Amino acid sequence: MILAQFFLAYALAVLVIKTTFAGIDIRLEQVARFLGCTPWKVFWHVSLPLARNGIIAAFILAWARAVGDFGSTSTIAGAVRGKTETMPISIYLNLATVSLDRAVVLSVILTLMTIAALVTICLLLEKRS
Amino acid sequence: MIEVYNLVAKYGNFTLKEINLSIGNSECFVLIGPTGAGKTLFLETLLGIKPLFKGRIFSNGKDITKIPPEERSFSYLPQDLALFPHLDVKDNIGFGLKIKGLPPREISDKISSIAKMLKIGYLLDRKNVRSLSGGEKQRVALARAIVIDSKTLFLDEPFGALDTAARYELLTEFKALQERLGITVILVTHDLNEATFLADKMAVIMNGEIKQYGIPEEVYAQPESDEVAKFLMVGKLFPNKTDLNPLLWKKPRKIKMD
Repeated sequence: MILAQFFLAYALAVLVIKTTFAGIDIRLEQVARFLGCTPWKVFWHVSLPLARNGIIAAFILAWARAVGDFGSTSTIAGAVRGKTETMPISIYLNLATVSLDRAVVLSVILTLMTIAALVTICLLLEKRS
Repeated sequence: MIEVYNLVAKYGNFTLKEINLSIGNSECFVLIGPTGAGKTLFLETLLGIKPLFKGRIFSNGKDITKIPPEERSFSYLPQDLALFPHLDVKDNIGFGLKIKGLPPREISDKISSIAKMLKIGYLLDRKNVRSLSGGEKQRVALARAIVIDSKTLFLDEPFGALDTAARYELLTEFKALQERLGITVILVTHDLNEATFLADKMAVIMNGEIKQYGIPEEVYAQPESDEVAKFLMVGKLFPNKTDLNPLLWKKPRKIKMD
């Protein structure tokens, strides 16, 4: 289950992180070289701090994608109560057993988590730019 | 002293053709030319940012052709200044000193000293470098480049974004600072005023080729070709060449209206 979610989410994280690093002004890295930085120090003192918010945003995005996943988890690990019971699977199982109250509560929690993740990502990326 | 022998550099379809130059210690050398002439490519090749195709570069007798930028003991001030947006003003200026591993107290002293010299002491507490004005950014970037005690400073059209008054003020101060500290300056620009004001020696570059090299008075008085004369706004074909160069006019001409 963890493997399924990892493969689903890591590509998204890598894409965001790659875009973040590509967006860093190369002049900043060049100037740092003339201030005495080796390529590794440029990465540590310039590139990484500048990419920090993008990296955090990428991990939040990947986490949100993994938490909300239903298809790949249920296909690979199945939908077993107490064993492979992620939130979407739990909603599905509660709907299947007509436990509507629990399903609705879980749906609301999942929606709020998604909104919180999106707001955090927006704030992080806005701060970066 | 910077010596360049048979330097050839290529970038896409553009080629710098066999450049030979010698820049003396504490000299202000200005490379001037129109947009797309190869000024920045020349500068970046000397700095080691762009690879050279052929030739040799020496700094104080040492062959630096193949050594990495951080070991060349050069300072670099690019056109867009490249202030680190994640650092405050003080940390921007002290960045190179911190990388060198100097003790915090010494870093602080050096920052205060250079800030005083460049009249930016009041900016040291500013947290966001993006909030600085164009002239303030210029001074902070200059302080960052000078504070590491490098003896050679490379500048790529650094004063271009300033208004006339701010530019004149900064140029005057920069010239005084360069003479006081005795640093070698290599500056590229397309601005004739800037070149004339700062240069001890200048070279005119066009289409990747150095067309003329010498002291500014010589270059203006005796342009070696029509294209150089045209670029410098000096009429080579006319007997009194300097008459056509507005930079050398002593007083504004009066126009009589009938």
